[in-house]
Amino acid sequence: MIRRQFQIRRAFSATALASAMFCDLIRSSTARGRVNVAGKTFSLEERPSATESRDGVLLAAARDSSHPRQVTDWSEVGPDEVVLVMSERATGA
Amino acid sequence: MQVSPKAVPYDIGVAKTNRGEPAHTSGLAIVVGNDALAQEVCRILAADGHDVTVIWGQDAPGLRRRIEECGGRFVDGDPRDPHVLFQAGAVPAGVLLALAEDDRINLEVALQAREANPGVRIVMRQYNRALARKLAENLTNCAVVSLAAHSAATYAAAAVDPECFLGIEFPTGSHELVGFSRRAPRELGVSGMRLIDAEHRLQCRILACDGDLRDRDRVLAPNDELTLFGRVERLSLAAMPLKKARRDVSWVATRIRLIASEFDPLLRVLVVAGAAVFVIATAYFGIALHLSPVTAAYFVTATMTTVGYGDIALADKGALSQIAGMLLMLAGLLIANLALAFVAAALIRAQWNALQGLRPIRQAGHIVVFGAGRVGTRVVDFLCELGATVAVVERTPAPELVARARLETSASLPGTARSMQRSSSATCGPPGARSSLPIATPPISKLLLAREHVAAISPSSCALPSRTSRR
Repeated sequence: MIRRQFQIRRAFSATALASAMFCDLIRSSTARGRVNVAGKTFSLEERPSATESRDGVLLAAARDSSHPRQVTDWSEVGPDEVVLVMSERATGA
Repeated sequence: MQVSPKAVPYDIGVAKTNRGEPAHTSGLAIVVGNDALAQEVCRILAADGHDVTVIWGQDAPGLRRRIEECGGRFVDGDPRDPHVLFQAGAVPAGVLLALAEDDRINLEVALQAREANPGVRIVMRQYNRALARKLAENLTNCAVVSLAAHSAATYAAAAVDPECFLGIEFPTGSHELVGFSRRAPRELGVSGMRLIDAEHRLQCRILACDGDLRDRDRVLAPNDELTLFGRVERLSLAAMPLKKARRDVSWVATRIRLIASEFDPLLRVLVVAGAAVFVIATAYFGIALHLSPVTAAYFVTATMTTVGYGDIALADKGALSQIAGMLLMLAGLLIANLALAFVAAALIRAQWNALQGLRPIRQAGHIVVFGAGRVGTRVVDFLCELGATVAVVERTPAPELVARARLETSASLPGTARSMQRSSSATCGPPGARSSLPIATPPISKLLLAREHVAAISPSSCALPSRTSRR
């Protein structure tokens, strides 16, 4: 209603943006929220590249607080980098 | 940022813990809080198969009913009381989510729960960023998140790229923004290209095309829906560069209209009256004293400014000329003094504005942020890091924000408006704002202001992403 009344291009609720992340954080501190792509809900994780799990769609890598690089393959990621990974949720909310 | 043009088959795995174990989807979770966040988290956890108990003891009418509708159990009591935590099941609980709006309550509850059950995992909401960082470093098996910090990334990303639907700070603490956006190939100029070639050209990742996540060799049709991922600067380049100035004829006309509208009405009357008196007096004395137009104008100027050289005198020019001379002297005195008063006031105002960090914005393509609370401040941080020109409209800005606006030597934060009564070119910059971002709770007053601003200065192009309390 507010979008229509005020001709707003996009309306975001801080609660809606963060609530899923709070739920994902109960299983892992690396959770960074959820995103809907192609009708599916994916969990986003920021984790060290050195972790064993290499599941999910690799999105970006960065060293310390440097600019993130877009990467598509684990071979492009250094051992001391952090990566952003998108994994399909087994159970969606 | 380079994108490999080779086709990479996506391995879409199932979410796991950072140790590689499958995520558990059941167990007792205790939620502390009474606002929309607590209810939404309760709803999601219950849907995920958790047994959820929400604790809140302060006055919250209807909370029990709303929690039960979300699939949770409600315990009425002070969450800081160890007995209440025990009653709610803190000892067997696997997870405690402290989501109250008060940092101190969250911290007290977390410490009580940890004392009762050293193995409990704690997820805590904290507004104080420094405290949150310290807690996350020193409290084991604990995640501390700022709601403001997390959501600000999306607001900032949407202000830069209007089609962005999720922004994330990556890596955490870097102020670097990555985001997800939806666009059609025709908007990006990549119609007819293969998907991997379009990625290479855009330097953005194309995650899905028309709901298809896997076909990397697909040729893009003009109206396909692409889901893009990349750094927000790259996503925004697909729309328009951050500081692209649009100074066409309409821009100039709107600018002139806005400047004219900001003149004090009394000053406008004064200017018109002074000009009229000058012209009429010049014409009269030119005829009455047989002076050339230039000499008459010289005489009127000398009289009106009370200089009075005495080279042209009215002593023997008749009563009518002397009466006209006296009226001219009085009018000159009035107009000159009022003009001086306006100039002095303008100088004092300029000095005051400079002290308040209210500097004028002189370029288009800026972003206006309405509200500089916890979220707004973070949004401004992100936008400044991206190199955007930001104007902040806030009735009571934090001293740090004012100091920053005052001392900033670059164009990153040129204006901080304190007046919420109107958003004019003086406070929000010239026409051609890239977006207006109303961020406040409750947002209605900011929304009204932002709508007025958008309608006034850039009705066709200005994006208006907003914060709302409901989805």
